[in-house]
Amino acid sequence: MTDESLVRACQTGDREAFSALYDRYIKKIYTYVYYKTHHKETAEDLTAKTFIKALEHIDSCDPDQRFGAWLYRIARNTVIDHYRTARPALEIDDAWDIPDTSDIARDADARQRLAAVRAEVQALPSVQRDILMLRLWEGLSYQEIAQIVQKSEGHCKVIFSRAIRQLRAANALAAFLIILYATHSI
Amino acid sequence: MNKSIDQILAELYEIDPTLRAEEDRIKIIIREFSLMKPDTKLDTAFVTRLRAELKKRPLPMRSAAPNGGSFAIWRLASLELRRSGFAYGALALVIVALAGVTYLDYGGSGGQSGVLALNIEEAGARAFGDLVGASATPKGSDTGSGQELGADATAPSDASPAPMMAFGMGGDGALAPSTIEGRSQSGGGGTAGMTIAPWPYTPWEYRYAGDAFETPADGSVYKRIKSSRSAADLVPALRRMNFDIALDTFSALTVRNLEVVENRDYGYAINVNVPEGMITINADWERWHREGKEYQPLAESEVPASETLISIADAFLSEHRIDTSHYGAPVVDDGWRWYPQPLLEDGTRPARYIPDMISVIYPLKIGDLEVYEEGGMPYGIVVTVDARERKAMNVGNINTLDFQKSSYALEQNVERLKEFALRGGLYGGMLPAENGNAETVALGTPEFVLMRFWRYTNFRGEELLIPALRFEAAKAPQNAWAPRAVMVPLVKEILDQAPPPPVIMPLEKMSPPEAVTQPLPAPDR
Repeated sequence: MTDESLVRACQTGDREAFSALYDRYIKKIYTYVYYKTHHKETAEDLTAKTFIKALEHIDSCDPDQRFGAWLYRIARNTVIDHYRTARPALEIDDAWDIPDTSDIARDADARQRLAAVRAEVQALPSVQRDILMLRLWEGLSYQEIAQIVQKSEGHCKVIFSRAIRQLRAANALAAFLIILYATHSI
Repeated sequence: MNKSIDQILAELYEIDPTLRAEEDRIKIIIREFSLMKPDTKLDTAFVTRLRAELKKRPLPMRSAAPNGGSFAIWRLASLELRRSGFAYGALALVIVALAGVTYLDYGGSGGQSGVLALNIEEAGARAFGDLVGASATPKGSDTGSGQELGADATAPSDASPAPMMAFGMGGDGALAPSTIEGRSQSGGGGTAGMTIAPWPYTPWEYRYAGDAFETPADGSVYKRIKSSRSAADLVPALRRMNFDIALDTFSALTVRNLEVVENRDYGYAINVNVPEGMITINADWERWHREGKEYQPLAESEVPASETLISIADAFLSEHRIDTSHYGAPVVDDGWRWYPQPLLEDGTRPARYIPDMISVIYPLKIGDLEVYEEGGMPYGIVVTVDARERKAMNVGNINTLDFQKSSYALEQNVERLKEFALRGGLYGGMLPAENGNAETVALGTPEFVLMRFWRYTNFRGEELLIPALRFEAAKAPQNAWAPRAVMVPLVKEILDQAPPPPVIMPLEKMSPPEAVTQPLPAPDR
């Protein structure tokens, strides 16, 4: 069944239809939230909140719009709410905005993996980060990304190219790697 | 990755053609960023917990219009019967008439009052008589042997080691290697050009590498009771239905088997075997459209992780409210990984057989003891997951759990039990070693479990669960297939009557039968 028909079924009281949507999106949403929190327990907590909100507001979801994009938006806002509630004085969208030396919990593995790009990615606006992650880590199309971040497809492409430019400028390591891998294609 | 990077680059150049001049650097940035992707492991327990939590919450509705199409047995009983379809109606009748409760627990009560609840009656000492049976059928003569296609996960399993028959024949999907329990791991590519040559056999021998252990002083044997329950009660209801056949002209009618099918694409068929007390759920293949799809054999890297397979199985069982309260933590049957990839003469290694269908097993538990097959694999509800489509395709062994239990004397001689372990279990049957070429399988300290054991009397099988020790192999040999565990029954009288280990002749030593060497006469026309 398509997302659209499942959403319509949910709106007529079919609980199994919501279960089907849950099974379809739980991994995606958890992964997305994890990318923005770097911490398993926090990601689980916020993923749970995302699905509870989705369940409570499924009657307001337009079946003709993409359910996935709607759900990602809820997840994105849930993450923002989480960090801004904890630190209301700061403009924080996700864990990337918080220095690595701060007291927030981060998984060791995520901390280690992201160490090499933390500084560069941290310098990007959160929407640029989101587009980078959704495009490069999640492999979503610009059409899907556009619906999640609520911008046009063309605008998303521009933002992505800006992010790449910014990373290129900042990435001194890349110059070294070019020499190292000059003869290797990737 | 190259393809996706090329696409990303093409999209970038559309927006900013000047980036093309720095393609090497841009590629590295994209690649490095992609490699930084955090490892996100989704905890299946969390998924299950959240699903349960969501199910407790009210679902807001736009309208109160009834919805059809989704499937749940309890809904069939209450809603679909009104549609007058015989199949749905009949299933509802089964649900209502069999025992007054559904087979599949849907009340969230843990199923304690359902027909799938565990019921154990006490019986006297040695209440089941001779456990080996008056006419015990030799192993390998019943269904479910390792050479079966694994189509029926519920068939009685066969534990006789048969390593030769399972090797390397999975290329065309016609003879897929199966674990020795005959579990469903069929499929496997199915495209031409995937033929895998049979591997040369290498014998193995066991070595005990565990710690000192003691045997339990006592233990009970459990005998599964299959009753027809109140299946006969269904008949009066059926008689009232209009089949254009006068059912009341037949006498002593009862219901033996019933199958209902979801009337939709990608639906499931539910088979209720009343006398066996068994429900099986299978994908309704006629409506699972696969026309036009070309399936290439799966690569090992494409096989979903165990946690993913378990998550899929969990989701299916949870969605259909199948009670697993008497079953332990699920395990994935990864027997295919145990098939060796020996170095061939040309320096290559044969392609490993990758199953399309992988079983997730929820081991039955009686008290604290998990139940295992005679071959050492867990026994319980089996969810077969399509590794390619990532969907649950079959659920087997959803059985009634009515048992009688009786005490039997257990073997206390540890050395004797070790001897049985080193010969490969009750039936033995290892391939003979030559010139010291045997691989060694190190067995660890045994675990006290229950073993599913079939007693055959007058060509009828009775299902027993007997106390046993399970010696798990520490690791698979590199160049030989070998069992993953050795099961040794603890019941003394079973050990006393154990047959001598059979002599297995390796295929290379076999001579073709005389008749085959002679030209066959042309058939008459």
